[in-house]
Amino acid sequence: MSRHLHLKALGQVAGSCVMHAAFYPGWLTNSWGNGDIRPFTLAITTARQTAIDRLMAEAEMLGAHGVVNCRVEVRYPEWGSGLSEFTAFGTAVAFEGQPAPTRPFMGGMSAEDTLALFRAGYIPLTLSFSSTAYYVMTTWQANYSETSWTNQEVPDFSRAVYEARDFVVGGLRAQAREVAADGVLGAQWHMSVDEIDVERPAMGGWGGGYGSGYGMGYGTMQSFRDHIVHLTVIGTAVGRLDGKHPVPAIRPMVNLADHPPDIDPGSGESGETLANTEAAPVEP
Amino acid sequence: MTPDTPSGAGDLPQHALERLNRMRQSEHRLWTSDLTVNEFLLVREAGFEPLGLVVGSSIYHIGYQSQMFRKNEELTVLTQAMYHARELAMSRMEEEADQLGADGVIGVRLDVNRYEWGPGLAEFMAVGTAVRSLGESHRPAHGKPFTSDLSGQDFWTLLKAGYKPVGLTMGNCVYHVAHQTLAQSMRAMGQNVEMANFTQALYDSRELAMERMQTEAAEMGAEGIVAVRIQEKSHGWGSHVIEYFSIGTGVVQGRADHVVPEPQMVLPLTD
Repeated sequence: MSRHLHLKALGQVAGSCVMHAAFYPGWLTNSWGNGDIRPFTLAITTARQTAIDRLMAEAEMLGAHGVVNCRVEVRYPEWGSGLSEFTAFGTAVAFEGQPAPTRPFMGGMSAEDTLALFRAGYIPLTLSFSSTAYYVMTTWQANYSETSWTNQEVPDFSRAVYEARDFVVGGLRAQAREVAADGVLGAQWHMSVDEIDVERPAMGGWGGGYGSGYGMGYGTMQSFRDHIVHLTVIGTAVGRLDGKHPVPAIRPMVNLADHPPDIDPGSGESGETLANTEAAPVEP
Repeated sequence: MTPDTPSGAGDLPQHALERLNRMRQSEHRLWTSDLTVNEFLLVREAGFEPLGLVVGSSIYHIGYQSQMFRKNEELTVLTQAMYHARELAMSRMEEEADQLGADGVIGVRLDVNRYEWGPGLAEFMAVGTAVRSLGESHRPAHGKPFTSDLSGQDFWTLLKAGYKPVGLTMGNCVYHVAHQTLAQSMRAMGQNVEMANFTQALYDSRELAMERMQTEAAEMGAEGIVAVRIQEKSHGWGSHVIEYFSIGTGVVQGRADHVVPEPQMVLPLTD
């Protein structure tokens, strides 16, 4: 299908950025509460964006029209603590016999999917993402729920995760708007939670029984196990192309192969019905 | 299942409500989705447009229940915890979709994650893509958006076959599988025998889970359930405690005069 639209692969492009992003609980000593840890978030966001920008620079040097199969991998190198390595990979492609645009397109989808998008009147614009390192303070109530014998939700934690997610979804939308996108496709969540042991003044005077508080009431320090939620959402921002582009007609097909290669046997009630999106477009 | 299952927008945090309202009102509607390209095109072809990713989550403390060492039994406290937490996550996701004015949610994934929150704590998360019909309303009779774990491909196929999704139906059962007595293990030594009490335990718990799912579907007014998956998992409870979880999409038939398009036969020449 790539050949049909004269899409030619130019070569693999990549971009890396190693960032030292650290967090010291001491930063929060005077402002305990839930929230985005700004310096940390800024560091990892900048690093990811830098990796993507460097990949883009490579693609531009190749005279590419775009980058397909683009993805960002995160690793934590062993040669230093608190280091994160962000590397963006992709394949630079060009439409044969056409001049290179000022800024190539970029998307996480394969070349076939990219062409299907083009035919339906959409263009992948860029990888859009948003991250947060969200500090979640363990309240006394949460501490109590954790040690209870009965079933219950821990509302403080649920709310914190909600806030963190709202934060990144808001960021993703802002990023997509910046490139005037119509929408974001293939958004993926990545979430992890770190524990962090801290000491802070015991609030409310009830704290004595949990952790290893020195005493009761204000002013005394008490140990808490707080959490940091690392949350990233990443997808491909797509925009609309000018002109009329009918969505390709889709014909149901029955695959007569013994083992249909593209079907997960556990995922559908109709294993033999395949929808083929590569059928010819309807005549307008 | 429990009386404090949330209803109405009151359960969503203020932030979420504000974001959803902004999404609904803004001039230039930007959508987000976790659909693949093919899914996206199929959803468009079926006459729907994606509205946004909708998520619900609940961090839940699972209570404690003692178990009889030699008894096959359901652990009702754990069953209820797992069900209630999923229900909370699902209803919050549904609420988000409702606020967006969606007809339904497709591609729903229900995940249980044990992050480092602490012992006995788990995060239950429901995530999917809210979609809206460009033509007639596809909201089911109960008025709330439908939910479904069907992929874009399956959703398209289901609609073409003249059916509509009503909602996700699920049932679960956490079960304690009895330990063997010494006499039983002695008898089994060197023999090919069925371990009747183990088989019985699996049967019991699976049947309970499936029955609960079917009851839920009937209450929802579904005519059938498609794409049922039955999972057996032990969520860190040790070797003798298992959970059977079954989930599927309840469907109803649309118009009676619907014609199913004749599929074309294809024999791919690839291996």
